[in-house]
Amino acid sequence: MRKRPTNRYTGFIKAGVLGTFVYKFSIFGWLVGDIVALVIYCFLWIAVFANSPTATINGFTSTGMLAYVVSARIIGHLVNSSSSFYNVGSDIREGTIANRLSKPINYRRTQMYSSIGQYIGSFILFFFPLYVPAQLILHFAFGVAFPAWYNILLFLVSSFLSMLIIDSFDFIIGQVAFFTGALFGVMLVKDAVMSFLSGGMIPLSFFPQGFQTVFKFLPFSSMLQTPAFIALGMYSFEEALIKIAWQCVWVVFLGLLSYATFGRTVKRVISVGG
Amino acid sequence: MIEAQHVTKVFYRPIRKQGLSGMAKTLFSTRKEKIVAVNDVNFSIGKGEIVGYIGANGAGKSTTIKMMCGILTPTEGKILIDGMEPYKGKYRNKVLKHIGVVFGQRTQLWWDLPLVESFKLLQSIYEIPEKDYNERLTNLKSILELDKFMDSPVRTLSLGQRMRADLAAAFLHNPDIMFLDEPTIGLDVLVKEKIIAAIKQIHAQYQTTIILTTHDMNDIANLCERIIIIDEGKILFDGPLQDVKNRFGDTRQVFVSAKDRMDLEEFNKKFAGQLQFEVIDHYLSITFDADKVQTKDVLRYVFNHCEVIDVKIKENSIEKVVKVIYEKKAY
Amino acid sequence: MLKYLKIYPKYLAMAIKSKLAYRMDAIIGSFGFIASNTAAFFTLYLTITAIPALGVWTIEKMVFLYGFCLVPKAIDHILSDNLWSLGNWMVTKGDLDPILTRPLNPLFQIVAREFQYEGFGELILGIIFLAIYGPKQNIVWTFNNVMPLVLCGFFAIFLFFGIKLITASLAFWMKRSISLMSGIYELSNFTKYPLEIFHDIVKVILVAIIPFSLVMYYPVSYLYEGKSIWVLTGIIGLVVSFLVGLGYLLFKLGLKRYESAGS
Repeated sequence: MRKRPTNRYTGFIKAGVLGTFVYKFSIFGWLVGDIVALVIYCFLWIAVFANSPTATINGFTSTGMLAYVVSARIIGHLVNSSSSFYNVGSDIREGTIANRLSKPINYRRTQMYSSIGQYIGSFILFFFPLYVPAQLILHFAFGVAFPAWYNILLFLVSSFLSMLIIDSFDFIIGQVAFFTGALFGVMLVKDAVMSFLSGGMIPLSFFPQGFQTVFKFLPFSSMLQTPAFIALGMYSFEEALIKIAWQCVWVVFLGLLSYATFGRTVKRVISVGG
Repeated sequence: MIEAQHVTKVFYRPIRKQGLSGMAKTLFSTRKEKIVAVNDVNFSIGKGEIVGYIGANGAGKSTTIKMMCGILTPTEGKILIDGMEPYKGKYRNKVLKHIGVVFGQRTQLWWDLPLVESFKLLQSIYEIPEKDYNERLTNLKSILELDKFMDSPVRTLSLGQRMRADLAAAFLHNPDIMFLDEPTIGLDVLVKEKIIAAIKQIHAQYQTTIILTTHDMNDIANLCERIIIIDEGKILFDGPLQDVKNRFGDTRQVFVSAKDRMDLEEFNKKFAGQLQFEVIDHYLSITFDADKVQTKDVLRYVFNHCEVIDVKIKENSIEKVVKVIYEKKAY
Repeated sequence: MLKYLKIYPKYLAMAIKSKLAYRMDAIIGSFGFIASNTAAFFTLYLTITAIPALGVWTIEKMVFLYGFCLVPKAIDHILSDNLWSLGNWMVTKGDLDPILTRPLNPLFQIVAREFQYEGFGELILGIIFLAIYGPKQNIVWTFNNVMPLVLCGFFAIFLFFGIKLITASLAFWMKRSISLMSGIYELSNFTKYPLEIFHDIVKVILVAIIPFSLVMYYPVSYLYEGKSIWVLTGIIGLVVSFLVGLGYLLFKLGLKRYESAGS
């Protein structure tokens, strides 16, 4: 389980929350583009299902698919709310990392707490105001069932864990910036890979069987598909718990990896004279 | 050469409120406040003049400069450069060919490429004939000492070097008029002197009309024959530099540090209340108008009435005078 | 006019040389775009293969269409990437000022100054798709269908340019129009899908309002049906010219507004 955050770190959580509020106005802009794309994806899937001889495709009905597409998009924003990638990347690139490392607090941990803050801020500011109306529309216009109360609770846990997994992953990849000096390109690759392999672009059940087996051993499905399926009630209670257990494994594994890799990066920075 | 006729420039800014709820309100409200940046400004500048254009930040000087460069259009009135309005489409390119601009805070050069490449491109943009280009470049290189870093990327240059480069770039096409917007900002004393000297030299050689905006009064004193002071959009003063001093009389400031104190009331009585006292850095500063009071009398009194350790005498600085003008808002 | 023809190569040379210092960025950026396009392509692939057949559309046709959409997009990406700066921060940061003091068309200065190497990733991917799947089509490639197709591709470059120009120019009114720019730019991704499957509203948008599908999808689909596309090419040429003209008009109006409102 998690340690209690010491006083030194709670400040970072707060900063993370406030940070999201400040960026809110610029992010609203991106939202417009998102909504347009989302609407068209919905039309696309409606058309695909209309052209399909079977009522379900790879385990999804047409309304189920709509629900997934919309929910996955919104949940995706929530679990991706951490800015660890940019923070680490730009800190290394601009050299402010030397400054931060000289402070008597653990850099990796501060990033994590900051991300937790951003998660909370994002939840209040974006997720809630978007997800609730979306669910209402899906229910009343398309007959999609509401999630059960325990699904909601499990979802809260699961999405938090997803955020941590992504945070560690982002942090590790952000360090790649040190070695390549290219933040934007790495970001594109990372986003494409993450989005594709986590079920953000198409549900994982559409992948050939072989791929799906491999995915079981990768952290990506734990990043988005797990919380999304839980929210949509597509797992039974027991299945959900198993998936959450897997998430915990990844949280720990990637978390430790992020600390370890950072230790080596720091040594590199010091030796190069950052 | 340059004429400003009843130029007024009005901006509309959305009214911003404080705090988080204020931010939200601003998003949705359409109320705007009217800001008159330049208010009925008139002046006329002839060929070959060097004019200092002074004003506090926000006084309207960058706005006026921008209108003269064709970046902004006056709300009312007009600006004529050689009889053409620079902000009007059909005249714009014609006028721009004959003016050069240096923005002190920003460079016009290509950041990642060697300096010489920027010059070459400018030659193409301004269509400078090969012979003229070579001549002027050689000349500017020697005046501004550019040879050492002609092949270095602009981003590797120090501020002083970059400023010299920008200056050269702006003069390259032999403009009739040069606008220098804070060209010495952030530079150390030595470099500043060099740049001012270079500007003087270029002016002497090419008779370029120069309009300089700066906060550094030394630059003005060294370079300009005429100054225009603008404050809150209106022109407070327009005339020869010498006039400014004369108008305000010749103020002297005597600094005294002594072992004992004097009775200042008595002191001032002797000089008919013409003296102003201040304590600055453990010195007593005595300020007076040199037309009304003789410095030697003040000094004699001081030496007679206390044990003097050190004496300093300062005469009127443009800075002070301008400060007074700002405060009085009239001349 | 001649002056611009002479000076464009010089600007371009400067732009190309400028980015050389950031080679690594460009290469990785290229990979970045290849990665995101590959992911998008596989999404498309997995979607389509989930159902037996989407009418006439087979994998060979979809890949070819994908390639045909990528190439003009990439070329425009390489040459006019700086338009994004216009929509993003140029208006508010006052970066337009130095541009306006030079006796050279402002739009030219903005566009010509940047050569975006990253676009080569997309370009290579698109060419590969076209090269591999071009011959596999049920079409006999003659002058009569290759020439107009190439022309359509050429026009498509300007389609992207025109739409970017229109949305970027809105920044003169909106201060920042980057969100609108990317939102509309994203719509181009939907031209890779067969138009028939969409609802009428989407069709109208993609053909008549933001005509990505008109310019890129229709020529390919007509060819599959064995129709001649010369007339279509002509129409496309007109539409694209109109859009670019509209964009330039908006830009000029916006500039006037910038001059009267400052930043």
